[in-house]
Amino acid sequence: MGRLIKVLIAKPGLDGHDRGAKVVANALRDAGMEVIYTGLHQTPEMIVEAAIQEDVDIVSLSILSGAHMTLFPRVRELMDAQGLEEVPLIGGGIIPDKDAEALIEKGIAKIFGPGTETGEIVKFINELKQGKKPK
Amino acid sequence: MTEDYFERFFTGDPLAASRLMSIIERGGAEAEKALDRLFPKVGRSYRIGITGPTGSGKSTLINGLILEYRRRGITVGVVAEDPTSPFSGGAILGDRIRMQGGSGDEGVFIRSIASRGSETGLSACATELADVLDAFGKDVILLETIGVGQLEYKIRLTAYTTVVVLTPDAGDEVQGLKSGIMEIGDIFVVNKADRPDSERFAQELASMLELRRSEPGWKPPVLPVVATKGDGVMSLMETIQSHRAFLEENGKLESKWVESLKNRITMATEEKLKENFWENQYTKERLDSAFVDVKAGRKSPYAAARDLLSSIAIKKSVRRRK
Repeated sequence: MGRLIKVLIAKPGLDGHDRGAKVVANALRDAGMEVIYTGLHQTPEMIVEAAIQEDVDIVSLSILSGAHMTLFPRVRELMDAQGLEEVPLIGGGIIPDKDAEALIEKGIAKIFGPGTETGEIVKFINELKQGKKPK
Repeated sequence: MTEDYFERFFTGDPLAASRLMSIIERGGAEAEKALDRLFPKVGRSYRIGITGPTGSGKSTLINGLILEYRRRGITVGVVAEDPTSPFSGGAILGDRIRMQGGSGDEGVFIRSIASRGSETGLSACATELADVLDAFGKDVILLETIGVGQLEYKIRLTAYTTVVVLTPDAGDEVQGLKSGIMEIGDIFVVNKADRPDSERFAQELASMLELRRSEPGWKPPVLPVVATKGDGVMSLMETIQSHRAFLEENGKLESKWVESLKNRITMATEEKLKENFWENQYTKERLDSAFVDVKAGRKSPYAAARDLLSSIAIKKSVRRRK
């Protein structure tokens, strides 16, 4: 039995809208990936704990609240501190281009803005996994 | 690399435990090597199966049990299985959404797993992940099956105590359920017991259980629970403890464990026999020629199978004589 690509999708912080996260979760499932969805109102600590216990290949955050500049780097820092340096962190939501650039400089692998086709996310994850040595 | 994980695993590093689980999920020789190393430490946890139809509240109930056990200082491992999509092979594993009670607590380890075509409610791999949590030192392991309804009997091969979770609106379903799920429960939970008709449902359930042949000395209790509020969860935990005490007093705990080990040896052996048999080039050639005979009407498929097996038996005895 092989192992499929495992993705954690989490909604950090206070915003209560997870339609986008669910659409992405369904698209990744349909692309043959295993998606761990942890639901709303997750703290960065909870997200990293779930990423450790589930041994996911990639962590994806959905943020619509505007707190992305705090939450993304915080999750990245915790991941690095707890042995998940090699696990990429991606995300999406309402994030201005200028902020997205700044986040990529802080080690976030990719930011998908509003209107992104789900196929683009699937393609990105597949390519990311292929270019990376298996854990 | 794997060696490094073992060192860290035995010092209690959750990431090492998690990586070992992934090695086991991938299967093959590496997985077996890992299980070989772990097994001397396996067999100390109390394994509890949580089963029932989709939407009956299994995950929420597990969350309640996590809180109850942790209040008593008992550490908890959870293996939660969700169905794989038969269309894409992918899965959405959402059990963690309802199991947030253990977050930030080192005494709790939750792992999700996709069923990957196993239609028995609990895949073999789920049992192996429970082995890892067992060796990792978790006192209690909760195994959540996918809610398929009637095919969850395999949980009994792994769990000491099996809890069946139903809801009052499953009323008419009980008729259908009686053949399968009604036989596997040691404890029955009527969840969402604040709904109308729940008392009547619990009574019907209890009277149906009267008809069931049960273990002498243990009459499966029916417990009302409102998992979302935590009502009745403590009583459930205490009932699980009573069932455990019952098994211990009768020597049944030991015999259940022995039975599960024997079953696993048998399954592993059968698996290997199959693998070795069909991977053999000689078998493949014989299969091709047997197929020609069957197609031409000279042999039945059964005669062909006998020939295939006997040729292997001969080959093995020749090898032994050398």
